[in-house]
Amino acid sequence: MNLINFIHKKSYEKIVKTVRRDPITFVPYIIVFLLTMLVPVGVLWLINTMFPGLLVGTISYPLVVLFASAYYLCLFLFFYSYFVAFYLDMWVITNDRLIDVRQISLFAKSIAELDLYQIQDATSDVKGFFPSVFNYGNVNLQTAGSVPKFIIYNTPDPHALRQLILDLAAEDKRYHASQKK
Amino acid sequence: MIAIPLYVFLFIYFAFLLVFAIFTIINFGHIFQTGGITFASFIVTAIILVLTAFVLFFTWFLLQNVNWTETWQITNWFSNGSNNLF
Repeated sequence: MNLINFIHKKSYEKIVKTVRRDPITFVPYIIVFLLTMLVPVGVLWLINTMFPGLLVGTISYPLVVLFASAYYLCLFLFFYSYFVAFYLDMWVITNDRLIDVRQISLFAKSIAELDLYQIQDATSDVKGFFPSVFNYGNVNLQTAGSVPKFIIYNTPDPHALRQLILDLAAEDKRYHASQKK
Repeated sequence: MIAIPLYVFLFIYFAFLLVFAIFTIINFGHIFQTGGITFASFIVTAIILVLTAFVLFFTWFLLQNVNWTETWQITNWFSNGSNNLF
């Protein structure tokens, strides 16, 4: 299945941009992942120093290996789940709508959408050292619809995205005004 | 006295592997369903699969000569030297 089927694109609708969080915001997860991968090395060194018999015992040795193996597999699974939740948080901007797809956890997903002509106000902010250095931040959209506030989190180049959304919203408003006449 | 055969732990590990496989497939299903198969997601998925294969191979390599019919005998958990863990 591709994105076009997933969002049930209308016949006249075209995808202008797909926005994901800036990849730099995933770096802390990678650092934590690498550090937790090193934990068993330290634990093995401690066991070897304090209980050297544990790594050669006929019972304890297989138990230690099975536990270490399960630890690493759990770690991979958590990392992959975090990646999926991070990567599938996305905003699809078309010439008609803004669709917010949020993968909250492995078993929780929410999809919200907003007609562009309902956008009343848009602000973009880049706050903090890393956001300023790597130019990422949030775009806040005030709407007249059922969802009063839409936030696009940690997007690359938020000021350009805000301008793009405002341009598309103005175009969509003109289109809807011409349809009413 | 409690005697736990080693293969019990192996079966628990296999049950864990089954859960691991199911959750990994669900994760991949999410990526596929959302049309998120791109270079980045492909690379991360490939890295996770390679690391998993690496861990499973080393687990098998380190445990291939283990006698799984051995039993862990625990006579009194709290008294020193009363079990054959080492």
